[in-house]
Amino acid sequence: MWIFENPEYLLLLTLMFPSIFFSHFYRGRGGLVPASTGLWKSSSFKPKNYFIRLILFLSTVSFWLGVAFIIVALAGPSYVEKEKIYLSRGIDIMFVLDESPSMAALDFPPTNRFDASKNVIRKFVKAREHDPVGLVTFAAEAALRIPPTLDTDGFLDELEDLELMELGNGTAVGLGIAIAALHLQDSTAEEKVIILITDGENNAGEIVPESAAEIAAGMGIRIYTIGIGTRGEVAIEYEDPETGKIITGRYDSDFDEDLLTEIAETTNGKYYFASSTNALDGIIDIIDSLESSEKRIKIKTTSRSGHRPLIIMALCLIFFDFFIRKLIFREVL
Amino acid sequence: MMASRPEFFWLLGLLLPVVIIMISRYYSGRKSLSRIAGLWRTDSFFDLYMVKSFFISLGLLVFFIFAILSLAGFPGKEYPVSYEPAGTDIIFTVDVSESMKAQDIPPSRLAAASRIIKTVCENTPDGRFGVVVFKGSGIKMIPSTEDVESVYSFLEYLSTDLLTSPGSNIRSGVETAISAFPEAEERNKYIILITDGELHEGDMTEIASQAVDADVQVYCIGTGTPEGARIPLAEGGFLKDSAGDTVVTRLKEEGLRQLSESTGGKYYDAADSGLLPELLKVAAGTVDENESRYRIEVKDRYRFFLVIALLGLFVSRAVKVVKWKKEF
Repeated sequence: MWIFENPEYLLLLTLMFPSIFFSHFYRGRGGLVPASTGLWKSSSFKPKNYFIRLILFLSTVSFWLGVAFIIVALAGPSYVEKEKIYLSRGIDIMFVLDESPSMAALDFPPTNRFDASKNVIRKFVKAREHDPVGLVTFAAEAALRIPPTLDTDGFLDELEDLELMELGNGTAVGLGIAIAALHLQDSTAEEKVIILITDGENNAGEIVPESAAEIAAGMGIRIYTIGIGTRGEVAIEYEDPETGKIITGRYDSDFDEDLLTEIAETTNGKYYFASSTNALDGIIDIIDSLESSEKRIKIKTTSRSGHRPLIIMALCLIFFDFFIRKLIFREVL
Repeated sequence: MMASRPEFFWLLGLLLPVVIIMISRYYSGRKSLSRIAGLWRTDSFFDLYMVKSFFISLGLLVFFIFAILSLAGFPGKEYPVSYEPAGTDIIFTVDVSESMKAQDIPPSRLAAASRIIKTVCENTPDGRFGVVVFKGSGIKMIPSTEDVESVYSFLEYLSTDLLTSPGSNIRSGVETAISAFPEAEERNKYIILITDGELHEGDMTEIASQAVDADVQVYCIGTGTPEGARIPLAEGGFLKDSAGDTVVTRLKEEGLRQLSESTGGKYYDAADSGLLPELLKVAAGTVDENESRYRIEVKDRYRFFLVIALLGLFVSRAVKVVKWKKEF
């Protein structure tokens, strides 16, 4: 936003009108030697050539424009920016997302479970301006996709690139939690949260989910577990990342509700069951409101003064006027 | 007293042609005046003409001189701005061009870089770190995070094969690093640039001013030696150019020195044993108490000169327009 530091200087602009009048229109002004080229008392000499008059006019205009710029520069134009600065530390949040093939089940219209989860995570992260968010995915193995960061764009890019089946076929819930906990251990945040989204039973990995949950509890991490999917037989469709073949079929969906409840309870979190896109949306909103922290913000204002370009322009304009008058029109005064 | 932008003083050179034009116009003016005004009134006109031209020219000169002085500007009032950095953000910016394979710094330049990064991370408990690597262009590998584990695991596979684009574009690397700092926070922001400075694509002064605008200090670490080293190949032997000569890569430090010094950082030689202690001191942000609470900002004093410039212009106009002795 542009402001003037001392707008009172702008009053000088009003003085320009009498100045312009006296230097160009006032009949009794000095600096002129009236000389007639015609008969007695005929009008004084005026150039007939319109081109010459145009140049003279431009040169005069640029002089007064220059004066105006100088006055505006005197008023101290400066560009003020207001910036929000967070003084408080946010909550560290780790998403642990299942990427086993069953996440391709098409019971979250218009997409499958996996894309539906990605959509809610995206929405959640965009709303969390000042909480570092990270992402771990798991299937047969688990991997850190992005460490807890405030770099929302980096997070969203990584999330966009996620594909099913990159980590094999299986559901290593315990490993996923353990990796997430490992990457939260250096965090200085007062509150750390893991949000686990899965649709299956733990059937892979070297770490049992219960002990992973205990490790997390010991580190003061809360785990929210979200079981997604409908029960019974569902259609499934996904692209195998290795062969590029599209695999379709039917899959008997079931997941271990007891396990997810237990994980949540050991860590003071909560278990939710999402059977539809709307339900998932609502659950994420609930977690969002549960995990809100007090934010302390200060507004930092920075200002940059903008007088220099104006003075440079004014100098150029008045120089231009000077050279036109003295060199081209050979004005002697 | 030092001007804040002394380069504008060069404009004062324009005054010379201005003065020459003024003088020559004065003499040609006298000539024309005697022609036009007629001999019967030249005497009284000449005196007035001389006085008037003198003041008009003087006013105009005052305008030019003082407008240029106000452009240069002089540091004026100092006032404190509260500044409480909440911690340290470091983005490591690592050159992964082929030349980083050279082994003149044992075990290799890249391995030395990796060791430096690890030591800094280990000894900066409240820091937040990110990693950018660059070759032909810069790519953010680890976003700014407190999770040093992720930095360590990245270092495991730090190699010159990470990126395929050829080259060593320091500018793009630093640019990516500047954009990797999280916004809306007041922290000490440092870029630790580790490169052998072999090729300089891109202008350093522009990138330096970008860093200054973003409040980022760039610390450069030059790996390699001015004498140079050969680049070993995986299959044995050394990298050769198209003519069949072995490529020798040498450290060119001038550009790095310039970049770090103009952003308030420092240049270090990777072979320097004092490098790590000094770097750690920087990362820990050991500044004295008062300094960390307030930052002094200085406002330019330009208005005083500009007012005089405007007065000069006004005088020159007024002298011209006001009729003296009802004659001229």
